[in-house]
Amino acid sequence: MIVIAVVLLMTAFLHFLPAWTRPDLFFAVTVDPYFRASGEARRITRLYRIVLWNCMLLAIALSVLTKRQEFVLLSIAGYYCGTAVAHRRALAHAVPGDSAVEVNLGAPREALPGGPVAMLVPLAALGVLAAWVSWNWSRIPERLAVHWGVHGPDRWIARTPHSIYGMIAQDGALSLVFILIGMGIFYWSRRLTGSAARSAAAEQNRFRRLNVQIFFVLASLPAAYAWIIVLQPPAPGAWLAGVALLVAGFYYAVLIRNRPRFTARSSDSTPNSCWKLGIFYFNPADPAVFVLQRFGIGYTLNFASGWAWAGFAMLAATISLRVVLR
Amino acid sequence: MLMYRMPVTLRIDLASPVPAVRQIVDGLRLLLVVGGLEPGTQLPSVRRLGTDLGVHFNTVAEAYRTLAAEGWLEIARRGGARVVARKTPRADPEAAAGFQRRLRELIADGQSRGFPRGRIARELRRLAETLEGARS
Repeated sequence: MIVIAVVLLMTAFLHFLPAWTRPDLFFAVTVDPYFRASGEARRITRLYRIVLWNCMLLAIALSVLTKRQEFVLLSIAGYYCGTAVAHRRALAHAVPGDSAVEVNLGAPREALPGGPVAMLVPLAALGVLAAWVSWNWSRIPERLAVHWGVHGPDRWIARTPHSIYGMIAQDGALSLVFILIGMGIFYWSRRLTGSAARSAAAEQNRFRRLNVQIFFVLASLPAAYAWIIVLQPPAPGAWLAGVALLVAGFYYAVLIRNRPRFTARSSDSTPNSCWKLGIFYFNPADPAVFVLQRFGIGYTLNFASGWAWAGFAMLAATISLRVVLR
Repeated sequence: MLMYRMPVTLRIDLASPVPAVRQIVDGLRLLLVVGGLEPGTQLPSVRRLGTDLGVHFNTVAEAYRTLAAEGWLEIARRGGARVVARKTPRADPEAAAGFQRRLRELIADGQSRGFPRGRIARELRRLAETLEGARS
């Protein structure tokens, strides 16, 4: 039931996504800003939504009939298929993007949001937890609930050094991944500093800093999870669900509310041909590892960069660690 | 480190047939000649400028090296560069001939793109006056 509700909410969010992108972009294709109001644009958007909702309905139906939650992943496939089909049709209406790039050589040096100390807080919290665990080992219950379903806890770990310190280590690795994503957006994404599109540059840079801050906040989630698991407060499942819902709600509310509102050209110098299926950016000539999404809100990876794949390898290793130590 | 007097912007066109390294060298040299970048000014690191311009780090490094070889820059550690005071060399006949040839080519390019002769002449006169003014 919870999964179905999440899928419905996600599909509703994706339904409105085309309306939240920059005016000169339509399904990741540079178009005339007036194209959005045309009949063809409405037809393309309708096609995207039909694919999206049909896949969602199919996903829920298969999930309910077979009682296997894995089928809900079909709804994500619907998003990719819908975007790819719409992107392909939008390409027929592409206009050349702005290929000129301007950099202010006198732009002041940027400071990392929150400073380098702020991003170390989650890791320090996990370090303190590890120290607390070693000093209070006997006070920790013999069995710790680590996962909750509708009817209460459904997964436990035993009180062994392997499982307790392993859990802290994997949460530390996950925090580190979020911190590295934040730092990657800060150091390895394009800054707009030229004077040609000053308002667009200010808007984009504001959103870029916001994304960095969001990832530094997300980095504290695994630390919060580890503390709640070890301390096992009354109704820990409700605590975790509350924290997760609060953070997820906050995350999307902040992103939607603070999305870049470009009124003029977006000064996006990425070529249309590098946006594969309208979602994946692949440009070996671009040294940026993170780029502003053309379809969606936030940043995406430049999949031609070796650093992007190194990041994926690290994320995969973190998830594998979780499975191995389960 | 000296502060900038005004916004000093470098502009390149990624779709231009002119190689990016040439555009960066020409753009920076223009700023160095007109005084936009003064001695002591620290330029962005190769990585930062490459990311912001959307060109490979090696392209920016090559541009910095070219200008360092001309005596405009001093390559700093960690991929940065600093503007240094440069003594203007005496132009040799070959360089003067090369300059005249490039100027003629530029004018021919302007004409082929449809710029009227009168406008090109006015622009050249204006530049000459600016140069004369700077000398006096």
